[in-house]
Amino acid sequence: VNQQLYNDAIIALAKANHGAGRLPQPEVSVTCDNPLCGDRVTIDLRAAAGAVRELAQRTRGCLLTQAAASAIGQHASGVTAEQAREVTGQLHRLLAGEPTQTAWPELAMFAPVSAVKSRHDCVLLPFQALIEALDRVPPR
Amino acid sequence: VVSFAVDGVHPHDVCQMLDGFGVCLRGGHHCAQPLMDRFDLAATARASIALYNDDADIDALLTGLDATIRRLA
Repeated sequence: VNQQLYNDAIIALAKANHGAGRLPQPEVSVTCDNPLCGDRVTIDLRAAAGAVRELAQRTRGCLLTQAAASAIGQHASGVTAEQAREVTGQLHRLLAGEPTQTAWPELAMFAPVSAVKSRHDCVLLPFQALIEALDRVPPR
Repeated sequence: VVSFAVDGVHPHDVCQMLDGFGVCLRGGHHCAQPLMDRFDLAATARASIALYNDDADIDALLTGLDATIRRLA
């Protein structure tokens, strides 16, 4: 299981750490914690027309959490709350072991995590933060 | 009882990898969040050695740690 869980693609995505850092003046900033393990993800974003215009993520967590946050940093530009929910729904199905097409192709690399239920929340935590951040974007 | 951190590898990844070597560690903040903050750590891995452990268990722990560092650090 571990060979598949810590596959080269997941390790590379986590180390790439796309979008790492903070925005100097974010429109919205959301921090989500997993109280059981201490992992913490902060998403800063600025939005335009209800979609992400600029995003930064700061993640203190395991490799799976870092890889998921990095995928968000890579793909979030232009994403709306509705699209973020759709992608997160696809990820839930993937983690449930269902064959699923994902809007972000990289998410397919998380399929082996389905075998380790205790690690599902590691992958989902950054997506929870993304959705909460987009939900807090003030309407114009 | 030995709590430890591996540079560049989260304790849950350490524990997950060691699981593959038949070694069961606890990973987390161990309900000691103020101490974790003091050392600027999210969590640690913790090995608890008991009467039923023998040299082979310690060897498995060290072998697994070596593999973890090579793979993830």
